Amino acid sequence: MVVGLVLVAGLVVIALGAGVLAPYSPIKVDPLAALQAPSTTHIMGTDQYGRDILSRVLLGSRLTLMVGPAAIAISLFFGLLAGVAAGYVGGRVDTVLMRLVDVMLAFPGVLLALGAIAVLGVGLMNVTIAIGIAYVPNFTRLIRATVLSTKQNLYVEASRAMGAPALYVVARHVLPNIMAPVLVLTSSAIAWAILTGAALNFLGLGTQPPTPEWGVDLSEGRSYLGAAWWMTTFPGVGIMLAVLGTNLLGDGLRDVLDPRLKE
Amino acid sequence: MLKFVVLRLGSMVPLLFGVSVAVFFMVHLLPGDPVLIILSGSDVTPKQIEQLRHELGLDLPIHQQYVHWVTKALHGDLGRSIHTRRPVLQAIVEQVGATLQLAFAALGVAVVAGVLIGTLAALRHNTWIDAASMAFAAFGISIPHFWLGLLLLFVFSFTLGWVPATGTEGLKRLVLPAVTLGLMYAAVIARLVRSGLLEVIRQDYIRTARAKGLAEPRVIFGHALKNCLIPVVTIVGLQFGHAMANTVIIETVFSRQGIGRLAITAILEKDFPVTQGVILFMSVMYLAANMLADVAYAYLDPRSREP
Repeated sequence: MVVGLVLVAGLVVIALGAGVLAPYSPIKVDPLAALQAPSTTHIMGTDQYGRDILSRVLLGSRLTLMVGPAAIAISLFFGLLAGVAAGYVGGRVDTVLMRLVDVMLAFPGVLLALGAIAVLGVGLMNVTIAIGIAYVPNFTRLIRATVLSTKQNLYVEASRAMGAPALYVVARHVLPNIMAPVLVLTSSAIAWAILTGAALNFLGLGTQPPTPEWGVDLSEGRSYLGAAWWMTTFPGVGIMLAVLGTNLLGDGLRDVLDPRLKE
Repeated sequence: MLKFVVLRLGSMVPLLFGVSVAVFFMVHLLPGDPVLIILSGSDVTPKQIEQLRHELGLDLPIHQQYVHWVTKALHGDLGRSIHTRRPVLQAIVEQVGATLQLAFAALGVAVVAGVLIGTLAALRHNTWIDAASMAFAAFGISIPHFWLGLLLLFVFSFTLGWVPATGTEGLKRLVLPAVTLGLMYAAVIARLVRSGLLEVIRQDYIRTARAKGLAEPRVIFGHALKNCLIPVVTIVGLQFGHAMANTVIIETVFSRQGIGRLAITAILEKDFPVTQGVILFMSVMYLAANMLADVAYAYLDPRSREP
């Protein structure tokens, strides 16, 4: 967990301070410096337009790292609404919502995101929304299940018996008790969202060049793989560290919040 | 067993209905008139707009449009590509072979590598081999597979020249894409086999097998591993659908033919009949793979057939 926390914190600091840390403009073209290998002038080398890779990696971290939390915030919002409604209200609301979730889960996550992009159109905002939509059923299922077990507790029944309104019971007694598993899922979901976001950007469905973004930079470096390994190496390491850090953080959170799952 | 299969098949019907409704409504969820969106950027007459609207069945009431669309789909007519004017099903059939080949090869790599690494980690529990195996699993899950593909291309194709960089034909061109896609799933299988084996080797029947004087490899491969592989069957079935969807990315990295690339091209070109067709086809494959995994699990572990 400590390694995960250090990685995630380090990347967030880099993303926030990228404007100050970047030695060059990430979009400044310099044909004379094209495809230069890593050196003291350009620590991570340059791309086919002579743009500094280090500056692009530093500033590209912002968009890549933003997609994960932003997309999962959407999933969490709708997952909470649907999951609490299905679990707490039950009956027909539960049946209808769960059948919808079943249909959404009939599509693999990447395919669901692709379908959403097909409808919404190409662009970073739409990629973020598409990934968010793709993860809603996972949150809905988990939240419904935890709400169902939480509402059996005596303190919830007591609150209801005392005439407390449903919204109060949910906010005061149910939500605080379902947060642990939701937090664990959020962490692993962010890792998946960062990876999927970078993949969709790599495929040309999200951020468009020349905006720096790790997936876009990997895609551009693909054409120069034999001549300039540095173009794909550094953005790739960035994505891997971000996903690894978030996954390790999620594993650590799971061990702390639910020791029964610890091996 | 037959009852289980029939019930499981029956449970797919409402899901298939839901999937068909969702895919059908993709076109209707577009903000604005789908015909104008499809024709955007080209000079068209009102007559051409009406012709396309009629061709896509968009001039009918919505419920009739759905019945019309689903009836045609059940007869293998998924419409025609807006750009190439070819039947969508024909395009899918032409491309699906390469995608299936990649998905099966990737799962082959995943099973072999995953079982080997998981077994090794469990047998050398709490040693550096165990730690290295689990580090591999952590990296396998975290590494962006499109980046791993590029790294493998750089090393084995551009530097060593062992395999061709791009293309679809021949086994040599299948190795790197299959390893790239397979390693991601190998990591999951390795974790599953390791934890399963660690639990099984403490069971009484394993102690008995050892007490009988059986050689250690026979105990592990003949008794312990056999029981750990049942959940692996389910996971492989579930992974098949995901592998099909992830070929979208791998096919682009290795410039391979396949329905994944067909889907990406269709999305970028706003070719809705093709996009709808590929998404419908892939989700049906995904559901079928999940069902087969459940049936295989029920066959291998009769306890799971109980409702």
